[in-house]
Amino acid sequence: MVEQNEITETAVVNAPTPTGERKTFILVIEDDKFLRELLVRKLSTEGFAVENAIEAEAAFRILAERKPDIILCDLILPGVDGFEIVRRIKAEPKTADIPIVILSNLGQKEDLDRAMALGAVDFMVKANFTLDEIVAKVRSILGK
Amino acid sequence: MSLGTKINLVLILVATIILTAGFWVIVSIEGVAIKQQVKNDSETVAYMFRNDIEHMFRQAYNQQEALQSAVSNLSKVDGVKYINVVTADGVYAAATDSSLIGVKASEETIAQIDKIKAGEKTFDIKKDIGTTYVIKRFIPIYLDEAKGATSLINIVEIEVIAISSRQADIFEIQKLLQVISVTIEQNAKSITVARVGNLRAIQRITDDVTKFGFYHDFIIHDDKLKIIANTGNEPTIFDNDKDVYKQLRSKVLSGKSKEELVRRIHNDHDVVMQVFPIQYMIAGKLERVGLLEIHVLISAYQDKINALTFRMIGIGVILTAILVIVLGVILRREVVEPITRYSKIAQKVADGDLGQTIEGLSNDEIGQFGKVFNSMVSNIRELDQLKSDFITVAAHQLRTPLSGIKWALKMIMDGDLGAVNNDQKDMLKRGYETSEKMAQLVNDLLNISRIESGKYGFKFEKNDFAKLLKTLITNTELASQERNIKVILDNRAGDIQPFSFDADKLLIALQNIVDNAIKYTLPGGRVTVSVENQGDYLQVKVSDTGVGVPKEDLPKLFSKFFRASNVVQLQTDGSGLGLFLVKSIIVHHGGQVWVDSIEGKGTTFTVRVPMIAELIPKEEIVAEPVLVAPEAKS
Repeated sequence: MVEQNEITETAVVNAPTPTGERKTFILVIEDDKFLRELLVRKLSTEGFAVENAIEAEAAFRILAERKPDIILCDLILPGVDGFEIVRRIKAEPKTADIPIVILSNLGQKEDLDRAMALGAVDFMVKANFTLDEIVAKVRSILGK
Repeated sequence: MSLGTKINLVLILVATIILTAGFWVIVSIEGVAIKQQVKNDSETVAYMFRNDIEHMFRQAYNQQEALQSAVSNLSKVDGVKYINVVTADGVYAAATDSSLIGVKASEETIAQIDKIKAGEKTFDIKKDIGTTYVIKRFIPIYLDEAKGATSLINIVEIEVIAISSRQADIFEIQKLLQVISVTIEQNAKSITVARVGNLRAIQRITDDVTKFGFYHDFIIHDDKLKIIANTGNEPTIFDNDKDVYKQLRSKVLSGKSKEELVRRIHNDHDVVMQVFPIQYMIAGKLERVGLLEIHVLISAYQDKINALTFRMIGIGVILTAILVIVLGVILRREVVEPITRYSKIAQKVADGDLGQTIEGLSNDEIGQFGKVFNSMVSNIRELDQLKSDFITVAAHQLRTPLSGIKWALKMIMDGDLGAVNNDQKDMLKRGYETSEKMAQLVNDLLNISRIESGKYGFKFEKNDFAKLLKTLITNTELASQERNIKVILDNRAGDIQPFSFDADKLLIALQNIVDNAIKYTLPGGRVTVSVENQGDYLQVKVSDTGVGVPKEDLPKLFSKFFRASNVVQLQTDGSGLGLFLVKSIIVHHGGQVWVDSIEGKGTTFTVRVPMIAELIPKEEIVAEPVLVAPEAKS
């Protein structure tokens, strides 16, 4: 578990706000309504700024407005799938450096290899992790 | 026996039978032709010479006739009582009384002949019978005067009678005798000269004909079946011949048979004996005066037939070889090679590589088979994809609601949504654990589906086994504390050097066994994990003091969906997939897993994994539907 103060430190270094404290901004791309709500609620409770998108178009709209510190991305989405979203984000120089954690209920080796090859930083099978573990993973990635 | 060998054997057999039959017909037809040819040739030659010989016989006969005619004419002269010509053997060759011809001379005459043979020249026997005067004169005729008695051919016996015993009449008959003797001597000599010449000619013929190669013997008999001439000039060769052959000659000579043909052995030679008459017309009647006998060698045509047979066998062997090689090459290229190629591809498909397609299909039945095979593999590929897709979708669809339940329960449980009392918390916890088991079941199903399709994706690299053991024990802490079970690690292997294994998969396997041990051991019990070296293998024993496995269930323990009969009632959360997964993982490591158990006392699972990379199977094994435990070891 990563210490809370590290995150704060990172946030401070990365983007100081006029108030002197800027929340870490997380973009969640998830099509399941219930899961999306749970994720947003948990992450918000944990002190993150969270935006969510149901599908690619909404996600890229948010990305165009504001660059997230990390993206949690599902794979099976209506229309453009998660793999394509990762590919596009990594292809665009402005967004290429954003760490992306795949949060999917797919989990076969091919899916995992494909996502990692496209540039995802980690791959978590939703059913195998609790929200606390997901938060810990986010903190650990951002803490690097 | 390979297909190619079988085809070649059939080809050789068929080619041999067809060619043997074909050549047998050719040899039979040709053999008959050759035989006929030899027969025709030998007969043609025989007929040709027979004509010559008949001509000579005829000539001799004519001269004989001329002598007799001379004798008859001279006999008519007044005073001539008779004129007889006797051969040196004492047989009448010509006589005034023509019935005497061929008859033996009287003893009195023989006595006179003997005198001549003894060296006497011409002599007279005079008889004065009163009024007349008779002179009987014996005149020797020599072929060669100088050689004397040895060349004696005839004796002429003449008896003349004078009209009176007057000196003038006697002188007259003396003159007559002189004329007769000269005439007869001339005739007799010419007969002998011609006869000797003819004999020589015939003898030469009988010797010369052997040059044709097909005669073994060429024989001329006279009308007494005496040999006049034969090949090699052996006049007594048939003196002891079998009666059956003698009778054969007699039949032809007597006119009972036109000609005879018989196969016989003569002087150790297999021959065809043919007998033809020597005949000519005498006073409008065909007279048989001798025989021409030929012995044609069977070997003359048999050798040719044998040579032909050998030639045919040679050609047959060469043709068979060419036929077999050509057909063999064609069959190899058209049948055996495609089948071998297809078989290799089919093997790859059987081994799980569904990406295989048969290329270069020929436009025949085998090509058709290839097309069907390709379409079959394509179907399997689709089905496999379908199955894969189904599992993926099913897993995804199951996991999504599970994630929701899990996350929500955890949030409430953790008090994120406000305080919960202990009772509520306890109930939430059980709900949460149930959802966890469900998630595990989904994971197991996915793993097994991957193992069965050979896509589990093993990753072997050098790992630290001690680290794995530590994780294993740490993971059991929660459950063991909860159930009040003591988990003991007994490492007898000491410092384990890193070796090649798939850390994630091996942990899953060992975790499954240890979790099972904890699950089926009653509170207060003990689970011991002992590790030791066994040669090239590392052995891990997990012993518990649990409920044990009924003996009849042991062989089925590692089967998919199998649960022991004594725990089906006891617990509800076993999927029956765990040990199947364990077995698959251990087998993929080139290891073994087995179980010893006494019901009510406890169970010991033993896992052995190789510590040297060479013992790990090269390719991922497609798991069999049912895996049976190996025989229990002590």
